[in-house]
Amino acid sequence: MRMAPKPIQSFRDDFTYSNSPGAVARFPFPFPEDEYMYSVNIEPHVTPGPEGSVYEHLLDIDEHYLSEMHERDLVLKENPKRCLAMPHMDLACWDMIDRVMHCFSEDYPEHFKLTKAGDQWTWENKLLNINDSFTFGDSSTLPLPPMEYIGRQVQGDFALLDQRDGDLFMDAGIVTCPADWSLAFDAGMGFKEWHGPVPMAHEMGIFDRALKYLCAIPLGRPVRRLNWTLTVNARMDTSPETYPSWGSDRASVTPENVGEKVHLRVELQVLDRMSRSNALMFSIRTYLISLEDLVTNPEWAKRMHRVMKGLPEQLIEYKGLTRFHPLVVDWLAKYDPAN
Amino acid sequence: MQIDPRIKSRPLYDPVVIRPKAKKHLFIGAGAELDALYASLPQEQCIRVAGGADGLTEALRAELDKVFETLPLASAVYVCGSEGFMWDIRNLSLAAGLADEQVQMCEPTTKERRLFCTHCYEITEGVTHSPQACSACGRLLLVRDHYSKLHGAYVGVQINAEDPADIPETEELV
Repeated sequence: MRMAPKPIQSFRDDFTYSNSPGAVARFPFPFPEDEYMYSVNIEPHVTPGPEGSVYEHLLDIDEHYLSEMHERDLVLKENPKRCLAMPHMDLACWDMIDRVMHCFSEDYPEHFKLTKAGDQWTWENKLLNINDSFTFGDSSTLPLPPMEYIGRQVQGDFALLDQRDGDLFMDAGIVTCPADWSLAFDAGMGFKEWHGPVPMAHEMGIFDRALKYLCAIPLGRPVRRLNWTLTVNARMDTSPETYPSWGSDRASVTPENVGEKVHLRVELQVLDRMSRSNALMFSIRTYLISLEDLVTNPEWAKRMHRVMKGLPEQLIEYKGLTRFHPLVVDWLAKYDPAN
Repeated sequence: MQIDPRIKSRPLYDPVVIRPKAKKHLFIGAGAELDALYASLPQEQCIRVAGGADGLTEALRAELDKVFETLPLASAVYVCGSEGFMWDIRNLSLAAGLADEQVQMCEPTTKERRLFCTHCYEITEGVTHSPQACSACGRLLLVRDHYSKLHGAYVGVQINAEDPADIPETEELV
């Protein structure tokens, strides 16, 4: 890991979260064109990707590791149901433990170490001072249920999708930093059901094609895509569960504070086939960057303005940007020479 | 491109048809559609379980548990009642080992919705208008069309979280 974990910063209350220049430089800016529209923007996640980039490893760890694990702990203490695994997903949870521990110990050996003697495994996470020995596949030998155990050690939200009848079902997950969706409500839904509220994309055939593509992902051939929205304040937990406590943030944006308050929120989504259960591990790794930091890159600033200016009304509404979207466009205009 | 405003997770209820190859036909609930289906079959192939007016009560659940134990593998279940009740029966049937396609639902007998509060996870039954106050936490909820078959419920999200004073007029749900 080239990004050394920083001391804990907050994603709530006083919002001390910040990006170092290195974190800004590797931010996954999601717009390849001046105009944004839905597409089946899924591509192979071939690792190792470019050195130091967010695509280098299967799962990216960066300077916010400790902060995000602390934030996850706060969310789970408030509401333990933000993590769930249906009984038939136990094997898939162990698949995830296997995949994460092998990847982390190989990709970030300075922080993680896995020692195996048959099914007796020892896992060391030096960043969180964890050193546990357990019997692989036996949930009673872990200090926490398997999904929560591994979920508390990985940045980003995770879901395990059970594949059956040509569909993918949201049957397990740990979701503490979602862009406005509830695992508790969406639990058990099929692919098109949990995407039910998304406007336009159904008619464009996006979900039909995406589902076929995802169901065909073979072992060892993960895929990725980027998704994005805007978030007011560096708030990780923009869940429906806690919306009563953050909804008013959206009314707090002014022409003076746009650059500091409004963040581009990008999800690096990776889907990876699990070997024993045939489930898909769906990792949703969230990156936040303030507009102030974003415009330090002139190309991003210009493109961000054009994308925001041309955003279809339905997407503005769906993404919850209605109250502050015009302020964002106005503020960004000065960075676009076309204006 | 035609934009269909209907949320895709909201179930559609096709007309129920008798599964001719089923060895046993289990009818649960009450309603004209169910009566007609029941009347179309020889009595000895059928089991009729009334109820559903009060939802899936403990007594009904106990009765159904016994019935499911006696059902042959190739059985068909037909259910009629409120939407939430029908999905409760479907979930109970699945838990008893039946497959999704063995359970058929009639058109819901009422427009009343079951509402899942996404903030406190509690259920409010019999919802006919939006916004609706959550019966548990009291928050004023926008009743959305996004539907969970597992909960047998629509999702409710606080309507005035961004601006407490911004409360739209109450609308009847369809």
